Amino acid sequence: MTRNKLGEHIGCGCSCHHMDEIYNKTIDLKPWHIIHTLMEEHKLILEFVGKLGSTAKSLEKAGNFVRAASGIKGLQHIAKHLVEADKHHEREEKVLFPALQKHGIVEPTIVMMGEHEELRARKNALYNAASSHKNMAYSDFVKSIKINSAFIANNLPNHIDKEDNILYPMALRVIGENEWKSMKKKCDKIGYCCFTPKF
Amino acid sequence: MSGNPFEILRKEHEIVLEILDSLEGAVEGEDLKAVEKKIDTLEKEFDRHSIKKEEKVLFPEIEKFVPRDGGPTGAMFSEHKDLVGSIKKFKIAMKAKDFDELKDVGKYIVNVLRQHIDKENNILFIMADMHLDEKQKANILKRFNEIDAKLGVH
Repeated sequence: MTRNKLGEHIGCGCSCHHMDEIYNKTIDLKPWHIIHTLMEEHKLILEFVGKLGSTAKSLEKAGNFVRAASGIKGLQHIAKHLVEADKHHEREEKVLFPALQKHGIVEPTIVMMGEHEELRARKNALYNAASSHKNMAYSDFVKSIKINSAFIANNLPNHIDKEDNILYPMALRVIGENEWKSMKKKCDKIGYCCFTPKF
Repeated sequence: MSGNPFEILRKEHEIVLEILDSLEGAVEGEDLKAVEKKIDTLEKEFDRHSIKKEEKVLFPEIEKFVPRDGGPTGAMFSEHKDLVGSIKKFKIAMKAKDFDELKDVGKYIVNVLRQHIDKENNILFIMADMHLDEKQKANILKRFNEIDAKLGVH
Protein backbone atom coordinates (compact mmCIF):
# COMPACT_ATOMS: atom_id res chain seq x y z
CA MET A 1 0.00 0.00 0.00
CA THR A 2 1.49 3.33 -1.02
CA ARG A 3 0.67 6.43 0.92
CA ASN A 4 0.90 9.86 -0.61
CA LYS A 5 0.75 13.21 1.08
CA LEU A 6 -0.86 15.88 -1.01
CA GLY A 7 1.43 18.52 -2.35
CA GLU A 8 0.73 22.18 -2.65
CA HIS A 9 -1.73 23.53 -5.15
CA ILE A 10 -0.07 24.67 -8.30
CA GLY A 11 -2.23 27.56 -9.33
CA CYS A 12 -5.05 28.66 -7.08
CA GLY A 13 -3.03 29.44 -3.97
CA CYS A 14 -5.68 28.18 -1.58
CA SER A 15 -4.70 25.94 1.29
CA CYS A 16 -7.81 23.82 1.54
CA HIS A 17 -6.13 20.46 1.09
CA HIS A 18 -2.83 21.09 2.81
CA MET A 19 -4.02 19.62 6.08
CA ASP A 20 -5.42 16.57 4.43
CA GLU A 21 -3.73 13.31 3.79
CA ILE A 22 -5.08 11.07 1.12
CA TYR A 23 -4.40 7.40 1.17
CA ASN A 24 -3.99 5.67 -2.14
CA LYS A 25 -5.63 2.48 -3.27
CA THR A 26 -3.08 -0.19 -4.11
CA ILE A 27 -2.16 0.66 -7.65
CA ASP A 28 0.97 -0.36 -9.43
CA LEU A 29 1.55 2.89 -11.22
CA LYS A 30 4.47 5.24 -11.15
CA PRO A 31 3.58 8.76 -10.02
CA TRP A 32 4.41 10.24 -13.45
CA HIS A 33 1.83 8.03 -15.10
CA ILE A 34 -1.15 9.97 -16.41
CA ILE A 35 -3.61 7.41 -15.00
CA HIS A 36 -2.03 7.87 -11.56
CA THR A 37 -2.55 11.64 -11.85
CA LEU A 38 -6.12 11.27 -13.10
CA MET A 39 -6.98 8.91 -10.23
CA GLU A 40 -5.43 11.19 -7.63
CA GLU A 41 -7.42 14.10 -9.06
CA HIS A 42 -10.56 11.99 -8.84
CA LYS A 43 -10.07 11.61 -5.09
CA LEU A 44 -9.93 15.35 -4.64
CA ILE A 45 -12.86 16.00 -6.97
CA LEU A 46 -14.87 13.56 -4.84
CA GLU A 47 -13.97 15.55 -1.75
CA PHE A 48 -15.40 18.69 -3.32
CA VAL A 49 -18.53 16.82 -4.39
CA GLY A 50 -18.86 15.49 -0.84
CA LYS A 51 -19.03 19.04 0.49
CA LEU A 52 -21.66 20.15 -2.01
CA GLY A 53 -24.70 18.57 -0.35
CA SER A 54 -24.19 20.10 3.08
CA THR A 55 -23.32 23.48 1.52
CA ALA A 56 -26.53 23.48 -0.53
CA LYS A 57 -28.54 22.57 2.58
CA SER A 58 -26.95 25.34 4.64
CA LEU A 59 -27.74 27.88 1.91
CA GLU A 60 -31.36 26.81 1.83
CA LYS A 61 -31.56 27.07 5.61
CA ALA A 62 -29.96 30.54 5.66
CA GLY A 63 -32.95 32.09 3.89
CA ASN A 64 -31.24 35.24 2.61
CA PHE A 65 -27.95 36.48 1.16
CA VAL A 66 -26.80 38.15 4.38
CA ARG A 67 -27.11 35.04 6.50
CA ALA A 68 -25.78 32.90 3.65
CA ALA A 69 -22.53 34.89 3.26
CA SER A 70 -20.14 32.24 4.60
CA GLY A 71 -22.05 29.45 2.85
CA ILE A 72 -21.75 31.31 -0.45
CA LYS A 73 -18.02 31.68 0.09
CA GLY A 74 -17.79 27.92 0.61
CA LEU A 75 -19.89 27.30 -2.46
CA GLN A 76 -17.71 29.58 -4.58
CA HIS A 77 -14.65 27.65 -3.42
CA ILE A 78 -16.20 24.28 -4.34
CA ALA A 79 -17.60 25.52 -7.67
CA LYS A 80 -14.27 27.07 -8.64
CA HIS A 81 -12.48 23.76 -8.09
CA LEU A 82 -15.13 21.74 -9.91
CA VAL A 83 -14.83 24.02 -12.94
CA GLU A 84 -11.06 23.82 -12.61
CA ALA A 85 -11.43 20.05 -13.15
CA ASP A 86 -12.00 20.88 -16.83
CA LYS A 87 -8.24 20.48 -17.31
CA HIS A 88 -8.67 16.93 -16.09
CA HIS A 89 -11.43 16.27 -18.63
CA GLU A 90 -9.41 17.94 -21.36
CA ARG A 91 -6.49 15.57 -20.78
CA GLU A 92 -8.89 12.65 -20.99
CA GLU A 93 -10.70 13.93 -24.07
CA LYS A 94 -7.64 15.07 -26.01
CA VAL A 95 -5.08 12.47 -24.97
CA LEU A 96 -6.49 9.38 -23.26
CA PHE A 97 -9.69 8.87 -25.24
CA PRO A 98 -8.07 9.24 -28.70
CA ALA A 99 -5.46 6.68 -27.62
CA LEU A 100 -8.19 4.29 -26.52
CA GLN A 101 -10.03 4.88 -29.79
CA LYS A 102 -6.89 3.93 -31.71
CA HIS A 103 -7.03 0.61 -29.87
CA GLY A 104 -10.66 0.08 -30.85
CA ILE A 105 -12.28 1.29 -27.63
CA VAL A 106 -14.60 3.87 -29.12
CA GLU A 107 -18.11 3.68 -27.67
CA PRO A 108 -17.11 3.86 -24.00
CA THR A 109 -15.15 7.05 -24.69
CA ILE A 110 -18.21 8.53 -26.42
CA VAL A 111 -20.31 7.67 -23.35
CA MET A 112 -17.71 9.31 -21.10
CA MET A 113 -17.56 12.44 -23.26
CA GLY A 114 -21.35 12.69 -23.15
CA GLU A 115 -21.20 12.55 -19.37
CA HIS A 116 -18.45 15.19 -19.33
CA GLU A 117 -20.69 17.49 -21.37
CA GLU A 118 -23.64 17.09 -19.03
CA LEU A 119 -21.48 17.55 -15.95
CA ARG A 120 -19.67 20.53 -17.46
CA ALA A 121 -22.98 22.33 -18.02
CA ARG A 122 -24.05 21.69 -14.40
CA LYS A 123 -20.70 22.74 -12.97
CA ASN A 124 -20.75 25.95 -15.01
CA ALA A 125 -24.32 26.66 -13.90
CA LEU A 126 -23.26 26.15 -10.29
CA TYR A 127 -20.23 28.40 -10.74
CA ASN A 128 -22.29 31.12 -12.43
CA ALA A 129 -24.93 31.08 -9.70
CA ALA A 130 -22.23 31.16 -7.01
CA SER A 131 -20.38 34.07 -8.58
CA SER A 132 -23.26 36.23 -9.83
CA HIS A 133 -25.77 35.52 -7.06
CA LYS A 134 -26.31 39.23 -6.41
CA ASN A 135 -28.27 39.49 -9.65
CA MET A 136 -30.68 36.77 -8.56
CA ALA A 137 -33.61 36.48 -6.18
CA TYR A 138 -32.57 34.35 -3.20
CA SER A 139 -35.18 31.69 -3.95
CA ASP A 140 -33.96 31.38 -7.56
CA PHE A 141 -30.39 31.20 -6.34
CA VAL A 142 -31.17 28.38 -3.90
CA LYS A 143 -33.22 26.53 -6.53
CA SER A 144 -30.36 26.66 -9.02
CA ILE A 145 -27.84 25.50 -6.41
CA LYS A 146 -30.06 22.63 -5.28
CA ILE A 147 -30.80 21.33 -8.77
CA ASN A 148 -27.22 21.52 -10.02
CA SER A 149 -25.65 20.23 -6.78
CA ALA A 150 -28.00 17.24 -6.75
CA PHE A 151 -27.17 16.41 -10.36
CA ILE A 152 -23.43 16.65 -9.73
CA ALA A 153 -23.60 14.68 -6.46
CA ASN A 154 -25.67 11.94 -8.09
CA ASN A 155 -23.71 11.62 -11.31
CA LEU A 156 -20.10 12.65 -10.85
CA PRO A 157 -19.13 9.90 -8.33
CA ASN A 158 -20.64 7.28 -10.63
CA HIS A 159 -18.77 8.70 -13.61
CA ILE A 160 -15.50 8.58 -11.66
CA ASP A 161 -16.24 5.05 -10.52
CA LYS A 162 -16.70 3.95 -14.15
CA GLU A 163 -13.40 5.51 -15.17
CA ASP A 164 -11.40 4.28 -12.16
CA ASN A 165 -12.70 0.75 -12.15
CA ILE A 166 -13.39 -0.06 -15.77
CA LEU A 167 -12.05 2.42 -18.31
CA TYR A 168 -8.61 3.04 -16.79
CA PRO A 169 -7.85 -0.66 -16.12
CA MET A 170 -8.78 -1.34 -19.75
CA ALA A 171 -6.57 1.54 -20.90
CA LEU A 172 -3.68 0.12 -18.90
CA ARG A 173 -4.24 -3.18 -20.61
CA VAL A 174 -4.35 -1.98 -24.22
CA ILE A 175 -2.00 1.03 -24.31
CA GLY A 176 1.73 0.29 -24.45
CA GLU A 177 4.49 1.72 -22.25
CA ASN A 178 6.00 3.96 -24.96
CA GLU A 179 2.61 5.34 -25.85
CA TRP A 180 2.03 6.36 -22.23
CA LYS A 181 5.28 8.32 -22.27
CA SER A 182 4.31 10.34 -25.33
CA MET A 183 0.80 10.82 -23.91
CA LYS A 184 2.35 12.27 -20.75
CA LYS A 185 4.05 14.96 -22.85
CA LYS A 186 0.73 15.87 -24.43
CA CYS A 187 -0.87 16.05 -20.98
CA ASP A 188 1.90 18.33 -19.76
CA LYS A 189 1.16 20.69 -22.65
CA ILE A 190 -2.53 20.85 -21.72
CA GLY A 191 -1.71 21.46 -18.08
CA TYR A 192 -3.10 20.45 -14.71
CA CYS A 193 -5.72 21.53 -12.22
CA CYS A 194 -4.84 23.91 -9.39
CA PHE A 195 -5.49 20.99 -7.00
CA THR A 196 -3.48 18.35 -8.87
CA PRO A 197 -1.09 16.80 -6.33
CA LYS A 198 2.63 17.05 -7.05
CA PHE A 199 4.51 13.80 -6.80
CA MET B 1 -28.73 -20.62 -30.97
CA SER B 2 -28.45 -17.02 -32.23
CA GLY B 3 -28.17 -13.80 -30.29
CA ASN B 4 -25.66 -11.81 -28.37
CA PRO B 5 -25.01 -12.54 -24.68
CA PHE B 6 -24.78 -8.82 -23.94
CA GLU B 7 -28.22 -8.18 -25.37
CA ILE B 8 -29.54 -10.86 -23.03
CA LEU B 9 -27.78 -9.34 -20.04
CA ARG B 10 -29.05 -5.86 -20.93
CA LYS B 11 -32.62 -7.17 -21.20
CA GLU B 12 -32.23 -8.78 -17.80
CA HIS B 13 -30.96 -5.46 -16.47
CA GLU B 14 -34.23 -3.90 -17.65
CA ILE B 15 -36.10 -6.46 -15.55
CA VAL B 16 -33.93 -5.69 -12.51
CA LEU B 17 -34.48 -1.94 -12.96
CA GLU B 18 -38.24 -2.52 -12.99
CA ILE B 19 -37.98 -4.59 -9.81
CA LEU B 20 -35.97 -1.80 -8.20
CA ASP B 21 -38.64 0.76 -9.10
CA SER B 22 -41.36 -1.34 -7.52
CA LEU B 23 -39.21 -2.21 -4.49
CA GLU B 24 -38.57 1.48 -3.96
CA GLY B 25 -42.31 2.19 -4.06
CA ALA B 26 -43.14 -0.68 -1.72
CA VAL B 27 -40.55 0.44 0.85
CA GLU B 28 -41.71 4.05 0.69
CA GLY B 29 -45.33 2.95 1.12
CA GLU B 30 -44.31 0.63 4.02
CA ASP B 31 -46.16 -2.21 2.28
CA LEU B 32 -44.46 -5.17 3.95
CA LYS B 33 -46.14 -7.85 1.85
CA ALA B 34 -45.08 -6.16 -1.39
CA VAL B 35 -41.59 -5.50 0.02
CA GLU B 36 -41.19 -9.20 0.80
CA LYS B 37 -42.32 -10.22 -2.67
CA LYS B 38 -40.08 -7.71 -4.45
CA ILE B 39 -36.93 -8.47 -2.48
CA ASP B 40 -37.40 -12.19 -3.10
CA THR B 41 -37.79 -11.55 -6.82
CA LEU B 42 -34.72 -9.31 -6.78
CA GLU B 43 -32.66 -11.88 -4.90
CA LYS B 44 -33.58 -14.64 -7.35
CA GLU B 45 -32.90 -12.44 -10.36
CA PHE B 46 -29.61 -11.28 -8.88
CA ASP B 47 -28.53 -14.86 -8.31
CA ARG B 48 -29.48 -15.95 -11.83
CA HIS B 49 -28.05 -12.94 -13.62
CA SER B 50 -25.16 -11.59 -11.54
CA ILE B 51 -23.87 -14.70 -9.85
CA LYS B 52 -24.64 -17.57 -12.20
CA LYS B 53 -24.27 -15.78 -15.54
CA GLU B 54 -21.85 -12.91 -14.94
CA GLU B 55 -19.56 -14.26 -12.23
CA LYS B 56 -19.49 -17.88 -13.34
CA VAL B 57 -19.62 -17.48 -17.12
CA LEU B 58 -18.91 -13.98 -18.45
CA PHE B 59 -16.27 -12.64 -16.07
CA PRO B 60 -13.87 -15.59 -16.47
CA GLU B 61 -13.90 -14.90 -20.23
CA ILE B 62 -13.22 -11.17 -19.69
CA GLU B 63 -10.41 -12.11 -17.31
CA LYS B 64 -8.65 -13.85 -20.17
CA PHE B 65 -7.72 -10.37 -21.49
CA VAL B 66 -7.87 -8.19 -18.37
CA PRO B 67 -7.07 -9.63 -14.94
CA ARG B 68 -9.53 -9.54 -12.06
CA ASP B 69 -7.10 -7.96 -9.62
CA GLY B 70 -7.25 -4.21 -10.19
CA GLY B 71 -9.47 -4.77 -13.23
CA PRO B 72 -13.15 -4.22 -14.02
CA THR B 73 -14.35 -7.69 -13.03
CA GLY B 74 -12.67 -7.28 -9.64
CA ALA B 75 -14.71 -4.12 -9.09
CA MET B 76 -17.90 -5.85 -10.25
CA PHE B 77 -17.26 -8.81 -7.91
CA SER B 78 -16.87 -6.41 -4.99
CA GLU B 79 -20.13 -4.70 -5.82
CA HIS B 80 -21.93 -8.04 -6.14
CA LYS B 81 -20.61 -9.11 -2.75
CA ASP B 82 -21.68 -5.82 -1.22
CA LEU B 83 -25.16 -6.17 -2.72
CA VAL B 84 -25.56 -9.75 -1.50
CA GLY B 85 -24.68 -8.52 2.00
CA SER B 86 -27.08 -5.59 1.72
CA ILE B 87 -29.93 -7.84 0.59
CA LYS B 88 -29.33 -10.05 3.65
CA LYS B 89 -29.34 -6.96 5.87
CA PHE B 90 -32.55 -5.80 4.20
CA LYS B 91 -34.24 -9.14 4.89
CA ILE B 92 -33.26 -9.00 8.56
CA ALA B 93 -34.81 -5.52 8.82
CA MET B 94 -37.88 -6.83 7.01
CA LYS B 95 -38.36 -9.63 9.54
CA ALA B 96 -37.94 -7.14 12.38
CA LYS B 97 -40.38 -4.75 10.64
CA ASP B 98 -37.80 -2.02 11.11
CA PHE B 99 -38.95 0.48 8.49
CA ASP B 100 -36.22 3.02 9.20
CA GLU B 101 -33.58 0.39 8.49
CA LEU B 102 -35.57 -0.93 5.53
CA LYS B 103 -35.64 2.55 3.99
CA ASP B 104 -31.92 3.12 4.57
CA VAL B 105 -30.76 -0.25 3.26
CA GLY B 106 -33.39 -0.25 0.50
CA LYS B 107 -32.21 3.13 -0.75
CA TYR B 108 -28.63 1.88 -0.70
CA ILE B 109 -29.46 -1.26 -2.68
CA VAL B 110 -31.47 0.68 -5.25
CA ASN B 111 -28.78 3.33 -5.75
CA VAL B 112 -25.84 0.94 -5.89
CA LEU B 113 -27.59 -1.48 -8.21
CA ARG B 114 -28.77 1.23 -10.61
CA GLN B 115 -25.24 2.59 -10.86
CA HIS B 116 -23.81 -0.90 -11.17
CA ILE B 117 -26.11 -1.62 -14.11
CA ASP B 118 -25.18 1.67 -15.74
CA LYS B 119 -21.49 0.75 -15.49
CA GLU B 120 -22.00 -2.69 -16.96
CA ASN B 121 -24.32 -1.56 -19.76
CA ASN B 122 -22.37 1.49 -20.84
CA ILE B 123 -18.76 0.49 -20.34
CA LEU B 124 -18.06 -3.10 -19.38
CA PHE B 125 -20.34 -4.88 -21.83
CA ILE B 126 -19.28 -2.65 -24.71
CA MET B 127 -15.63 -3.40 -24.08
CA ALA B 128 -16.21 -7.08 -23.49
CA ASP B 129 -18.32 -7.31 -26.66
CA MET B 130 -15.39 -5.84 -28.61
CA HIS B 131 -12.75 -8.12 -27.14
CA LEU B 132 -14.47 -11.50 -27.01
CA ASP B 133 -14.44 -13.49 -30.23
CA GLU B 134 -17.48 -15.12 -31.78
CA LYS B 135 -16.59 -18.55 -30.42
CA GLN B 136 -16.40 -17.22 -26.88
CA LYS B 137 -19.71 -15.38 -27.28
CA ALA B 138 -21.39 -18.50 -28.65
CA ASN B 139 -20.12 -20.50 -25.71
CA ILE B 140 -21.33 -17.87 -23.23
CA LEU B 141 -24.72 -17.87 -24.89
CA LYS B 142 -24.92 -21.66 -24.71
CA ARG B 143 -24.10 -21.63 -21.01
CA PHE B 144 -26.64 -18.86 -20.35
CA ASN B 145 -29.30 -21.03 -21.97
CA GLU B 146 -28.26 -24.00 -19.86
CA ILE B 147 -28.56 -21.90 -16.69
CA ASP B 148 -32.03 -20.69 -17.67
CA ALA B 149 -33.13 -24.19 -18.61
CA LYS B 150 -31.95 -25.54 -15.26
CA LEU B 151 -33.85 -22.80 -13.46
CA GLY B 152 -36.91 -23.28 -15.62
CA VAL B 153 -36.70 -19.74 -17.03
CA HIS B 154 -37.73 -19.27 -20.66
